[in-house]
Amino acid sequence: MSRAQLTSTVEQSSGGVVAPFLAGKNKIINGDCAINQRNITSTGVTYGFGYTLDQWQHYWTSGTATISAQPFTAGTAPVAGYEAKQFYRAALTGIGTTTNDSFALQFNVEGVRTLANQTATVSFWCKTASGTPNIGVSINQNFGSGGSSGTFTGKTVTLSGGTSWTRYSVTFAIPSISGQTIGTSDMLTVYFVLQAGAARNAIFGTSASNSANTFDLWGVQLEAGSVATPFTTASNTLQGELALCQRYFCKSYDLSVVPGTATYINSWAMDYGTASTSKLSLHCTFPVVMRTAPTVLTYDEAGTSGVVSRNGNGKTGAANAIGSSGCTLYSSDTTSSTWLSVQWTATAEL
Amino acid sequence: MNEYTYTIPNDSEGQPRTDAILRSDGAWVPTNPANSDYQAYLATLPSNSSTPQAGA
Repeated sequence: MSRAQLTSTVEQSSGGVVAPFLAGKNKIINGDCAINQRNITSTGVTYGFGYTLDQWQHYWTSGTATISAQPFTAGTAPVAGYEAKQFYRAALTGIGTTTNDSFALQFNVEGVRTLANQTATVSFWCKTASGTPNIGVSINQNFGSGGSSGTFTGKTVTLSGGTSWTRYSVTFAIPSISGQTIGTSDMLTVYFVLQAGAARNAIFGTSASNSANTFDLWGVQLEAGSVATPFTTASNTLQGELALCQRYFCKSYDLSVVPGTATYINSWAMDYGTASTSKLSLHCTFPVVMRTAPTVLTYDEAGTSGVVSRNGNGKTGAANAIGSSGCTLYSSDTTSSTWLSVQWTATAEL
Repeated sequence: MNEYTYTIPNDSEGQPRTDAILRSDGAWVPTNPANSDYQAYLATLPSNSSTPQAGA
């Protein structure tokens, strides 16, 4: 019997994918928090809507939330044999005390066809600063712009492990998409409703608590079947996971450098030799083909956004001819110049 | 949620650009219906409008 046949037989017998290292099993990208292109730190950020770690998106409207990346001390990661680098932390106060508010951490999986009409299991590790609160886990089939209305299927999880890293899993019957209209930017979204008021819980189909607490998460996985199999990342390689993330967000800067840092390292630049007051331009190629034509934000070498460097910083600049694989960066400033230099970020998130 | 304003600048020939709009944070948003930032821009328009409005 070949390995493939053996694997298939074991899968059928166990109702899940054979453990533990199979690329493509986990539909969540960056579930182990390794990719952090926006470079959030252990100090954290407090904005109400957006991304922190790659693919980890959050939304909240009142109260206070501080979201950070916390390092694992070597040897303390929750899975034996999987030495992860860091985990996600959300410190929440006063969220969900009003009925229409919530803190939702979400993962958007491209394509509403994902796991449609299948049984699927969401698993994750979590610990809290205190108590054993309820959180919600909800799945939304989003048929995209111009598509059918989506629905939420939610379940409530009691974090019975409290302050200790504990793995939890929730199994869903994801509806069929038969008869539905699929529009633009459709997706399957997994929500972690960490705190919520009554109205928001009703939407998500959950019963999340609303007492102030701090939630640590790591090892998020969405897979086919009714069994939470051992965790692996979507690609099972660091470079593969980075490339998956770059489909949705990428930057000119080194991975360790925060966008907007004053630096010329990795800047896209051109030396034209002869001074010119005319428009200067260069073509920029993204590291991978992105999901769609991305939003492009330029920076000069001083780290100021919305401008470029052209024999000096703070010069008028722009992007045009933006496509999924690259764009043109230019400066129409009339300063007599021999060179153009541009740092950038490109965003094509769902 | 961030509140942005949008501008449609002119191209080098003095005509309004049709390929991208300029967001108030300095980002260039392509007029591509699959771009979620462009979808957010469209959501700010009056319901009977489906095309970018210059100087919005």
